[in-house]
Amino acid sequence: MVHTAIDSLEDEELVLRICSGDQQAFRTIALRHGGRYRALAYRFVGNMPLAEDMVQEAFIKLWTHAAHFDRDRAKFTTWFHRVVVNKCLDETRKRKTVALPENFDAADETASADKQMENEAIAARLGIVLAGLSERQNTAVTLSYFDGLTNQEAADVMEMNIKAYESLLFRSRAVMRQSLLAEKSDLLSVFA
Amino acid sequence: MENKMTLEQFEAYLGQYGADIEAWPKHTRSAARIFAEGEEGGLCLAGEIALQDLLAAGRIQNLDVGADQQADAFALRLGDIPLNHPQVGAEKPEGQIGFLRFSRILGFFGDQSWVSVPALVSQAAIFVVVLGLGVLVGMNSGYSGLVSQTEIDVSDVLFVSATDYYLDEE
Repeated sequence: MVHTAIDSLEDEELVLRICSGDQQAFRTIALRHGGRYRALAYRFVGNMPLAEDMVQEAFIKLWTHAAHFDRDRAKFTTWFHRVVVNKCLDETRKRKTVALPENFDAADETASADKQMENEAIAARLGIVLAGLSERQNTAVTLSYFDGLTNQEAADVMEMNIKAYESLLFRSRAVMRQSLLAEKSDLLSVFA
Repeated sequence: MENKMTLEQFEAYLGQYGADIEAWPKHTRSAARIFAEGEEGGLCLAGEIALQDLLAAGRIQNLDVGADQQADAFALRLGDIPLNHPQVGAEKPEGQIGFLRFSRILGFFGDQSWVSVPALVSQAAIFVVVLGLGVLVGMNSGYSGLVSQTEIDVSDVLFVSATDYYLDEE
């Protein structure tokens, strides 16, 4: 009964409880968002164990420093997106390599071979397209198109105003479109 | 109605409204359709459609990654964080707060295990035992009854001896 009551609480209320040492509130928020942030981090670092480390560090920070969250300034998810994204960007800068997504179904033994090949092809094409973007463009594309945030939410995460964010996203799309067209013309020239 | 559209205008509408020209503002559609039939417009539109498909596929992959079995196991693992990491500035159980604050003031005691509940209980027990032993020893000593006032009053002797001393000096 108590768990049901906690499950129905909003994130911001749960964080308040976490501040006072409520472990059940922490577990609820971890179960609610853990998978989503794992996928988000994976998009950035392209390596699942590393992505899980990044998210785990972010959740440790949430538990140990929950009081740093200011509910008057931002939604929990906006604040936590920022924490996870910044951790991932720091990590990718440290590594100084372009993180191309590894095989998405590598650990999924139930996926069919066809599905696996399809996923690999998509991941490879996305890797090519995203490689042409700057760090900020890549972040914007990841938040808006893969993580599914609204433009306003993503702008808040990146601490930009909405107009500047939409402009960034627009330029990112143009770059990606050009990459795809270049890839296509390369293929056509090979066949020609 | 606009009769002609430039590549920049076409790209701007494409970025804002997507590859479906029928979803664009009504006054742009006719010019957009004409532009899309040309080589530049056709390529641009094809690139946008390919991009939309690729991004949609990437979104589905992300949802798969976020919802697979490993994700659930990972989220459960996150739930163990409170067991292994103390909160910064967390309050201790109420019963210890007063003693701990006092011991923090006395910082030079190093670790404050001496004010923990078991330590205080054992210290109190030792105090009671020592006190009890003292009382018992006192009760069993050779002491018997009250001593009269004269037996213990030595002031006369002291006074006399001190007076004698001063007289001798003179």
